[in-house]
Amino acid sequence: MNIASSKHLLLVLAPDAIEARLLEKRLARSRPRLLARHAVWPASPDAFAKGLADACAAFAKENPRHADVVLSDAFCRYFMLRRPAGTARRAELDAALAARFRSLFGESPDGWTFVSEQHLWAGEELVCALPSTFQAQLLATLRQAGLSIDSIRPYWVCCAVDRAHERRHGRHWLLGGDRHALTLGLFENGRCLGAHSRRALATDEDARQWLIRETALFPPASGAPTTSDRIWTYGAVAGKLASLSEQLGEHLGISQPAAFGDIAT
Amino acid sequence: MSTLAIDFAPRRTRALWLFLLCAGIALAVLVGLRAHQLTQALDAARARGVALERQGALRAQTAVEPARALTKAQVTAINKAVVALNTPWPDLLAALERARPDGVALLRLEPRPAQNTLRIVAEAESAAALFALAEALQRDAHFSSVAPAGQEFADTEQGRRIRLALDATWK
Repeated sequence: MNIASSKHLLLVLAPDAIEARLLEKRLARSRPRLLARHAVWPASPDAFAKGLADACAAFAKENPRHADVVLSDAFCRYFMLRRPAGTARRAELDAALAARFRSLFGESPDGWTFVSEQHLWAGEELVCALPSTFQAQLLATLRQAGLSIDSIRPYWVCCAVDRAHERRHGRHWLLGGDRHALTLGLFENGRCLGAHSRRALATDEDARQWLIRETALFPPASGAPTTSDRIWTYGAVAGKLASLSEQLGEHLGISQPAAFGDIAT
Repeated sequence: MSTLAIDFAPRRTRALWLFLLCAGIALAVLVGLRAHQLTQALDAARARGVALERQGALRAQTAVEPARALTKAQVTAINKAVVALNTPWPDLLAALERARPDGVALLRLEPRPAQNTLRIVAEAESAAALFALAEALQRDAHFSSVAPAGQEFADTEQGRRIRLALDATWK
């Protein structure tokens, strides 16, 4: 067993595609090295579990012990929850969370798993929801494959974590997306002020209008220099989004990281 | 931008890190307590050391205090006193009492410690009683020798009596 490096499996999941990447993690390197990749295209949602098992089995000979999972934002829902004043117990917070979910999406929160930042001092925090059955299916498949699960994170969250130290100060828009979903969020001085995800838009004009609407929800504070806003784009649609972002106004600069490590693009 | 702590992986995978963190904190607390105890013990030992050093310094000061200069006469007197105190009076007096015959009166006892001798002046009506005293002293184990130092006659109200001086050397 080599303690200096280890084989690792990264699973990137989209509604119609599963990609398994075999990575080599080294202690001396901050970024893992891509060794091989294998894509599976489930024919239908019912075949998703089998496709996932196939993807896990693709590198069984390499015997990776740990797995990270990146979920397309199409699986998830993001929203902000303002903690009600006087909330003292977990049950009260869960009730507030369920009510907020129902009011935003018009659905019952039953059958959804919620994960929040759980900042004790924050009055408002980002919440992400994932269908419980999907999560259970995912966990069962990975465990059956003998994998220890290190993380299961939505794509936009991975984007937010990437190079986060460069966005600790000032206002930063974070735009990430793939062929299925588009997510936009705003961070100010390192704190998430809002995030919104939606299905991928059909036309560029639709995407532009959506960006204008979303960014208008969080205007800069009066007196603040508007030129400090920057927008970071990630994903397969990053190039197109960057050209769209330029049309949003002079106050939005574009910063498109050249490389995004091992997160799906 | 803070690192978003949003993760759908089961918390179990983090339990090990949490356990290690708790164990680390507990270990740090234990080490801290132990270090605190050791520091206290070290401080106490240092304090004791300082006290002992002070005591040692005081003793040293006492020791180096110059002794009083004694005159030769004083030294001689002290030595004499020491020798006189070393005279085995109880044994000598008991031996004299045992050796003294009836009719013999002990008039004077003069110790001479420098020579380990005792000058005994005794008086009796007859010389035989005095000789009996001398012989008895000669036989006593506390004396190594008995020698006559002089004799004289004394006229008293009871008549003429003989006085004999003996030098008895004690062992």
